[in-house]
Amino acid sequence: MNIGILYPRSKAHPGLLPDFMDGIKASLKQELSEGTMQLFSESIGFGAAEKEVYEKAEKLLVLENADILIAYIDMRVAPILAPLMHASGKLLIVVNAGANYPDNWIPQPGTIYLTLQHAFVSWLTGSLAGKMKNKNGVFATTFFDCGYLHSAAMIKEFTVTEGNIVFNYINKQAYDDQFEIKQLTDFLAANKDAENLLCAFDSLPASLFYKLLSESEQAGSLHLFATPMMLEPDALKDIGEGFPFSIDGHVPWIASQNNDGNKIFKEIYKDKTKRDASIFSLQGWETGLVLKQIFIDCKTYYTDGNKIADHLATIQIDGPRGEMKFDKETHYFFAPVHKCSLKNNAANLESEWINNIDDKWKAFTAIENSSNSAGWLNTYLCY
Amino acid sequence: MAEIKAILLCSTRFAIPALQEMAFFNQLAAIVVPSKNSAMIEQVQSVLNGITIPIVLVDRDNFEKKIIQAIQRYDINLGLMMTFSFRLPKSVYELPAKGFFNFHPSPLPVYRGADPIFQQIKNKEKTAGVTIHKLDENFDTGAIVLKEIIKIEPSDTYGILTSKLSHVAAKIARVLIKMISFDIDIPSKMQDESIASSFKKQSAGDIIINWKEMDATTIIALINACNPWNKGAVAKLNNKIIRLVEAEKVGGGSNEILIPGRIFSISNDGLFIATINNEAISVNIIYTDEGFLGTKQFNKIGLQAGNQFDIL
Repeated sequence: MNIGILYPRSKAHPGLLPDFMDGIKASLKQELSEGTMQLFSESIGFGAAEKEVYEKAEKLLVLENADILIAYIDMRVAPILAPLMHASGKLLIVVNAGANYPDNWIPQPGTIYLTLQHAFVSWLTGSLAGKMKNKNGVFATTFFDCGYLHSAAMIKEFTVTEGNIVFNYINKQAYDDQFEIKQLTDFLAANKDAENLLCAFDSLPASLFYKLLSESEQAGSLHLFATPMMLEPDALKDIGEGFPFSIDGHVPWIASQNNDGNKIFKEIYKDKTKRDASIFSLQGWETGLVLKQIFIDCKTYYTDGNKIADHLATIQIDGPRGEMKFDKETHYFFAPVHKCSLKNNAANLESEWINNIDDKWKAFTAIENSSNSAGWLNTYLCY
Repeated sequence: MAEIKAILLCSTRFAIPALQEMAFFNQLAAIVVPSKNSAMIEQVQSVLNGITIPIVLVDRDNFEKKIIQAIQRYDINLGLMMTFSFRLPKSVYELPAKGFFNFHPSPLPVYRGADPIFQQIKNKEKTAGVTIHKLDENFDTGAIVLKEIIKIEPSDTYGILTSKLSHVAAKIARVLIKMISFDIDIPSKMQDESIASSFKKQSAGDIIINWKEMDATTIIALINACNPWNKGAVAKLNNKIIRLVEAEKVGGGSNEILIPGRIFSISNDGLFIATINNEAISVNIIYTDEGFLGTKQFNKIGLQAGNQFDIL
């Protein structure tokens, strides 16, 4: 089976490319060494140059005769590949962080999505924020982060549950000593009842945000509701003895998760690469698991994208995140998530694994999304 | 990036969102509308609202000549068709350098034909779609480039679904135009004839409620499929035509077996009519010679419990 891979790069997350690719290779170690699977790959930069994405995909399908195409691209870029995939009849697996979600969840033929469910878990976090007694919320984000629908998902659910956004703060994209949040802290100082901060930040700006927010005089009374990258180890690297504020959020995966699927993943990945597993290697590993399943179950039709998608609806994959299921109503994989809490002045993130996620996922995908649209074409985290 | 100078052939409002977007982005060089379709001509003029794009009016006798002239005169390089009344000959669809594409409001190869939106609702399909295909010598049979599928909600009327699909058409037109502007050879695939289906334009007989055979869900689907273009599905009561415009399924409300087509209750909550399988529908809006009538007006035209709709 020939696998074509459109891989991304990210200056903000230099580990994304090597971790993702090594995750796939570690997962498919046996198949690659036996020669039953072959990988062909092409770089697509940040994923925003649609012409390049198309041409590289075409090259993989036509010249390398890829049977299945993996594309680490945003949902908004995927349509450019639709005619090509339709004409070839092959399967397209779109891999990304899941920071965007579609306005039309009805699955399109031959395309499936394997994501980190960032918009979904942000939606869960919005719901959590909406349950607070104090219904006033402040939304804080960056110019980059607010261009993805994880922000909309969180705010939408917060407001549905009677929350009220009283101030929006959008930071310009300067992740160095120019990073500042003065307008936000001024507002918070003048509006002491605005205690809930709904935040959408990638890990680097999150670490800068935490640092500056910790220095603000009202920090001790603040309760942050965070998107998943804000709970990544990189974001929390300066936590020291703890932040004065508390943080709640959801993440798709935590490295210390104790299930067999995760232990196997971390062990093999470490053995092969001498590096610790990351969310990007997780994505690569899971991509490999899906490919293996297709290879085992769909031997006679692995060039038929529609048939494969039909088959995936009947299986579950036991992966690092637990039981990963394929939702035949949307063609998205979904998996258990973690609810995470960091109390004031505590350095340890507490987490609760939420295994039974089916109903929540169903509710999330039932939401009408016609009024929201995402701004950026580049894949979330690729910049 | 290649410049797009498109000609858009259209007869219905299915084309409007795409037309609007293309006009805004300066991608439209001419619009072709049948001359007898004054409503569409007015709508196009209103949408353009000062944007100067020539509107070419054609009829059955001159459309070939006039479209060829327009393609040549305005240096058109892309042809798009979105529900157009006339079949284009090869001499027209082979003319634009970047090709000629039809947008059909169904997930081809199913629901080929003149009015797939009506047929898809009437047939209680769960999904509908828009397909872009290359033009060939027949209607709706060309190689498929792209299609997008959406859900049909049980409450979707012909009008609502048309609006939804028109926005899908605009969305996938964006993808097509982007590919063409990138100078990409547009990939396409022949339609699978083994699963193809085709429907003729609905006739008078297709819009009549058959109380004897249709269950509640089928009647509601027909009502929705006829709203708004036919002002509802047709029923007859004492030789008076009554069009049912909006209705929902309700429980039969009685252990007694009711005769299909019988009004068993009438109130401000609706006109309750028995259907087969001891089900019922509640009708909220009707259309008669007296106009569109809501539940509070039903008694003014003499409707009452016990009335029996004619079995046509």
